[in-house]
Amino acid sequence: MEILLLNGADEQDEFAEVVCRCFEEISEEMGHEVTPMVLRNMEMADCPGDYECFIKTPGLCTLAEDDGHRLLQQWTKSHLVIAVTPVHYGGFSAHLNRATDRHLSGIVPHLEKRNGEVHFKIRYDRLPSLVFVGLAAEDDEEKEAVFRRLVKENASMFEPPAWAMGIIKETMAREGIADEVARLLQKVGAHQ
Amino acid sequence: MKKKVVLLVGSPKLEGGNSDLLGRYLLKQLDNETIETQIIRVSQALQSAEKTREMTKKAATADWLVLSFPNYMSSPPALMIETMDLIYSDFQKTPSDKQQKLMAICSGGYPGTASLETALEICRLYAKETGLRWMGGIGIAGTAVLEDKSGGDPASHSLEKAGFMAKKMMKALDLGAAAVIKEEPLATTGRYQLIKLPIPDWMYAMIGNRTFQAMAKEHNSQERLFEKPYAEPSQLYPE
Repeated sequence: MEILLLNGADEQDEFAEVVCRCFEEISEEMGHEVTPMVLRNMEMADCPGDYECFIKTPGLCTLAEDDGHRLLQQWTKSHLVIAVTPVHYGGFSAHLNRATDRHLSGIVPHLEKRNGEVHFKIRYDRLPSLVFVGLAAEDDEEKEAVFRRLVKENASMFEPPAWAMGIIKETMAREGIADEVARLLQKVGAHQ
Repeated sequence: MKKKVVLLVGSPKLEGGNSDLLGRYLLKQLDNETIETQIIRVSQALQSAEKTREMTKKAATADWLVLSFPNYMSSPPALMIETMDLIYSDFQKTPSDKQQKLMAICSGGYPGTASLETALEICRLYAKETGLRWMGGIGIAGTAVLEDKSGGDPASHSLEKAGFMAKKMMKALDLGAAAVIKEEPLATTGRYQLIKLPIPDWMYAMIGNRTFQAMAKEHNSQERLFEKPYAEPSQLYPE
């Protein structure tokens, strides 16, 4: 299985590194091929939302060549995308947001009703499964509830074959992190 | 002393755009002798360290901060989050001596309001974490109808020109302006002031799809609209 692993931490963050390494190690033990990307080190312009990739160049981002193009290609061809992000006010980090914002080219200019809401039709037939992991310093039910809601809505827009989400706390022991990582990978069919 | 209201427009567009349009409408309702208003477009402010410093400085002295941004995947877009982070980090270094207030306007191209609510929840939790007083959020769906097709100057476009489609939007923004004037939380029936278009979702989808077809014809891309330029996952997984 080809896995894209996105580290959405704001800065050099040891805890995010530990969690990403754990995903990498367990995935490789299972025989998967992992492509890690540290989003803060990537040159990525903001999607202007002008829908040019809809009409003028269907499916191709019209922004100047940057790492966002590489990310989109790798995302599209992966079987599984894992996104690790600090939980910011219940949401993703700006780095992960910038990466997901660039996905306009992955939908087509045709509105349809899906899961009770009107969405754009998805461009590709075979999409990667998704795992979203929120990193948190402490328990915060409100933030976790918003994060869960955000991931659920993203999953409903991307329509992956399988998806999972988890919150990993800084207070968790290394074994606990490994168990959670294995649980998430199992949920999307990447762990026996 | 005049009350200072700073509007932070979080659209990645350099100028114009619906977030700008909606935010400007709210500010216009405040235009009187007791309130001083300022617009900061974060896409411009984040272009240099100097402009960024200027933005955080203005935010630090505001009595009210109003965020106006497009909904990107159930969240404020990256630029808006980055700005919120910068302002927060500034607040932590130099805490304000007054109780600043925060209101947010989130607009989206889909006709539904669920994802707008999620983006507003992020703003509410931001206020909670930063110590700003949360004064409420306005979610406006279906803003594709606001697009100015005249090709004129974006700064001269207004909600009034959008006619009956924008009537409920203006009403919600009037309530937002009233909250700022009276120093009260936004009046809502639910948690947020959520505005849908006065047409059913299916009609919105139909009009939207026809518009896209017409635009594709103009760019000679009708046959290519559903192309898949990137490689998809190999068929090996999942079995």
